[in-house]
Amino acid sequence: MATTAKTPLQVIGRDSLISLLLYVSPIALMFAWFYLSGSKPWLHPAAEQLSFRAPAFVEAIFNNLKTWGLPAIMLVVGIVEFSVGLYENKWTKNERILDVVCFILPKLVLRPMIAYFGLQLLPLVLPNAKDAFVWVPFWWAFAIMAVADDLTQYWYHRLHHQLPLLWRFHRTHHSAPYMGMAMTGRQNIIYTMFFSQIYLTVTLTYFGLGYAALFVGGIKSLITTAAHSSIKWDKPFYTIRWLHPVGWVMERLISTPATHHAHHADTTDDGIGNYKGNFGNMFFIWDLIFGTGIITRQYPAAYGLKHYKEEEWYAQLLWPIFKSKKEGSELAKNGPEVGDEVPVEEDRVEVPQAAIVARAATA
Amino acid sequence: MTFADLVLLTKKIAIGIIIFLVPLLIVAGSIWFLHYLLHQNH
Repeated sequence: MATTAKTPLQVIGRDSLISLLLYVSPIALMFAWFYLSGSKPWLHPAAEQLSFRAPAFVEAIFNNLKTWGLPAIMLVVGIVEFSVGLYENKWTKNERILDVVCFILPKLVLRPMIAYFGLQLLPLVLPNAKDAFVWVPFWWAFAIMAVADDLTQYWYHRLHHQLPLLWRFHRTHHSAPYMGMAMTGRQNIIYTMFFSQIYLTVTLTYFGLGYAALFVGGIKSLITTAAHSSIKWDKPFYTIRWLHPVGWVMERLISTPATHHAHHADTTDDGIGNYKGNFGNMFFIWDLIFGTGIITRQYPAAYGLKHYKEEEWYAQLLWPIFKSKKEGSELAKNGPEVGDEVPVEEDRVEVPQAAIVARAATA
Repeated sequence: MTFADLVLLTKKIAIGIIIFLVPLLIVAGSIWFLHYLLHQNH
């Protein structure tokens, strides 16, 4: 009996419904727990809020991580990566300018935007909602925030790969022919400015889940930064026998260099690269649930885009406000929406890299 | 920037807003609704 493959939009629709269950699951479990234990934390919100407090030094670490800590870690690790030659000779002047501007600019642009959204707009639009959920116990708030933030980023990321109209806003992150700290924050500024999960986290913080958000944000930043590193720190978990069980759990639960480097590979032909999937940021488990993940425990031979034309840094940063002058580029005036759908050599048609809508159903 | 670019930007921002609002409504709505149910029944 012949089976009809689902269309890409059907797949997205099905996975959206699954996501609804995933978003609700920690909340449903929390209320089931309240019901079974007879607990009513909303009657004593102040007491519940104080029921968990991390040790002062841990709190200080996460507070600093949010401000100068993470950039400092990225800078130090980046210098180590560069010093030991992990960028090979691919970190050209154009790439360097782009990476450095992407490292600095979001801190100047995004932070005021978020501050305005959280401190001005939300109190104006939802004046009575401030601290409405402050009674949610810490560990439940932690689970709710972890799922809400990271699943939302999974979708934001996935749709930028699967909807051709969004691809060029995310392309800059994939154009780097190397992995490492230098390209961790490398994004088109419009992609960064409209990160949906940031606004979700700020709103839930306004609703009273901010203390948990501090720790979720810190852990998530460390995991996603480590997954982009060119230092293959996860390798021992696959090669040292007694670490295998930890590695097995880790590679399914969170993003690692192996699974995330595969997402940045320039091909899928080697059975290692999976730029059509592995969309997870903190949690890799979303990719397993939705069938978009591949675990290989190997690292791609090459990164980036087959059709990369080394577009000018300002075009990669600010497209579509500024366009590339490189002919045939996705970022050029009248350039193709998805460059790798255009044959690049006389007798050879490249496998589409980004616009996977047409093929997502088979993934 | 052309008119087509503005349309594209508008679509991109609209999708971003949907990806923000849908989870917000699910999460905040679920907490509010289940709290309401449990509070009413006890």
